[in-house]
Amino acid sequence: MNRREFILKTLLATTTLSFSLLGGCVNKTTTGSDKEGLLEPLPDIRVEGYIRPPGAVQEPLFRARCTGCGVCINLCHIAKYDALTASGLKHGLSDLALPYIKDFRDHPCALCMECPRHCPTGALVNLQKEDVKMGMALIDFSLCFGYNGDVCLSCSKACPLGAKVFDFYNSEWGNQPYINENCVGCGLCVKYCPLGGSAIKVVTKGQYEKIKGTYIYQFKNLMALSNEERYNMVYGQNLPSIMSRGRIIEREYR
Amino acid sequence: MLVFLLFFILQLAKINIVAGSLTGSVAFSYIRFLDPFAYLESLLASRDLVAHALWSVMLVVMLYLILGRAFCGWLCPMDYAFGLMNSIRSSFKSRFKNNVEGTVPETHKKGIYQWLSYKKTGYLLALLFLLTSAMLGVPFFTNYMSHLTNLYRGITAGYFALSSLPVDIDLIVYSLSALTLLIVLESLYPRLWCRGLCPVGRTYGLFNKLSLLRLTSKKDTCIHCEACDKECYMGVDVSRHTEQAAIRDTNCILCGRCIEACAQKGKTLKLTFRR
Repeated sequence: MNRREFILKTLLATTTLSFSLLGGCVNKTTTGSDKEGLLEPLPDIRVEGYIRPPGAVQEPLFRARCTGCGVCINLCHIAKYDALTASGLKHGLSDLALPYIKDFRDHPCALCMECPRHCPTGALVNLQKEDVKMGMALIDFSLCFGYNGDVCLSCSKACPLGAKVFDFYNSEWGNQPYINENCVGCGLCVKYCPLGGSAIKVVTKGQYEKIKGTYIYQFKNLMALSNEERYNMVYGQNLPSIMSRGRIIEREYR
Repeated sequence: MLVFLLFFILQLAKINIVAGSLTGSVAFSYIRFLDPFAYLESLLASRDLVAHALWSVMLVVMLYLILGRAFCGWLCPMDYAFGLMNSIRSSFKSRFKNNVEGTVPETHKKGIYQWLSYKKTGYLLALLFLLTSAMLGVPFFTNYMSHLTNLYRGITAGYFALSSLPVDIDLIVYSLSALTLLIVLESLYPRLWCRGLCPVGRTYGLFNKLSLLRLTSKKDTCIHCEACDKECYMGVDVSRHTEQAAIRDTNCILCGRCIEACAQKGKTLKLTFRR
C-alpha cells in the first residue's frame, strides 16, 4: 500500500464513519405539533409503521414494487401539498426511502389522487377517493371541543368525504363528532382542527385494528357517563388541559 | 446531461415538466418512464406483472432500442461527475498529464481492477442484485445503492430540508454517503463502476446489440492512429473493431468522443442509424 492509497482509504473510512454518526445525531422529527411546542393528541398511542400515499397496495407488495423513484413525492410538491416525503432509518433499513406522510399537522394529504395516477411502478394503484385505505383518524375525546361543551365541526367541514365518515352524537355536551371506519386517513381534519397541536391523530389501518377495541370501549364509556361524572370530567380535567394548549390558533380554510 | 438535470431540478420550483428521477419519472404528467433494471428488480421482488409498470418500461425499452446505450453517455449524472473528477485530477497530477481523461494508470491494468472490469463480473453482480431482490422482496440495488435514485433523492430531500418541508434528515445522510462511496471508488479505480460494475449500464449495454443508432467505421479510410482507443474512457478498443461494419460493444456509450478524436474526421467513424 503506497501513500496515496493509504490516504484515500483513510478518507473512505472517515467519511463513512462520520456520515453514519451524523445520521444518528440528526435523526429527530419535527412535526406540526412539535413546532407549536405541544404534546400530540392521544399521547399513549404511538404511531406504528408509516402511513403510505393513497392507493398504496398491501405492505409487503408495496415494499417490493416501489423503486423509490420519487415521482409521487415530486408530484405532491408540484401540486403544493408537500405531504409526501421519503422515509429515513427510523423503522430500520427495510423501510428506507419509501414515500410516506410525515406531518399531518401542517402537510396532510389532500386526496388529489395525482400520485396513484402517475406512479410508474404500480406500487400505487389508481382508486376512487372513497376506496383509499391510508389510515384511520382517531379523535382525542379529552381535547376535542365537540366533546367538551362546544360546537366546532371543523374536522367534518375539512373532510373530503364529509357525511360518509362522520357520525354525530349531539347532546348538551356538544355535537360530539365520531369518525367511523369509512375514514381513509388523509389527515385534512388534523390540519384544520383549531385546537393547538390538534385533537386528532392518524394511525395506520393495521394499528387501528389492534387498538380498535380499547378505543371503541373508551367512546362507549364516555357516552354512558352520567351528567355529574361528565361535568367533573369536562370542567375538572379536559377544559384545563385544553386551555393550557393556549389560544385557539386561527386557521384559514382553503 | 446538465439540461436534463435542470429539467429534474425545475420540479422543485413546482414547474411540471418532468417529475421523479432517472429511475422512474413522469413527463408532462402524462408519459411514464421506468428504468429497465429497476423494473426487473421490482418484478422479481413482487413476482407479479403489473400492466401499469409494463407500459412505462416498454417506452424506455423502445427508446433505447433506437438509441442503444446512449443513456450512459448523455443522461447519467454519474458519467458527468466522474468526467469532472477526472479532468480536475488530470490538471493537478502529472501522472495523468499525458493520459486522456479516465485512462487507467498502468498499476491498475493488472490484478483486481482488470478482474473487476470484466463484463462478466458486471453481469454476475447484476444477477446477484436481481437474486437478492427476489429473495428479500425489495428492489435491492435500486432502492439502496443506485446512484440514480440516491442522487435525486438527495437533491429533493435537501431542498425539502432547506425550505422547512417535512423530511427525514437521515435519508439525506444515507443518500450522500452512498454517493460518496461511489466517488471514493472512482478515485481509487477510475471508471471501474461505468465499465464493469454498474448494473443499470449493463442492462442498457444489452440494447447496444440491437439498437438502430450505432457507431460505424470504414476500414479502408482508417489510418490506424488509434486516437479513438486513447480517447475512449469506457475501454472499448474502437480501432480493433474497424474490421467490422458496426461497433456493437456493450461498453460503448455512444458519447462520440472517438469521432471527435478521429484523425480522419468524419470519414472513418460515424454515428449512423441503421437503414
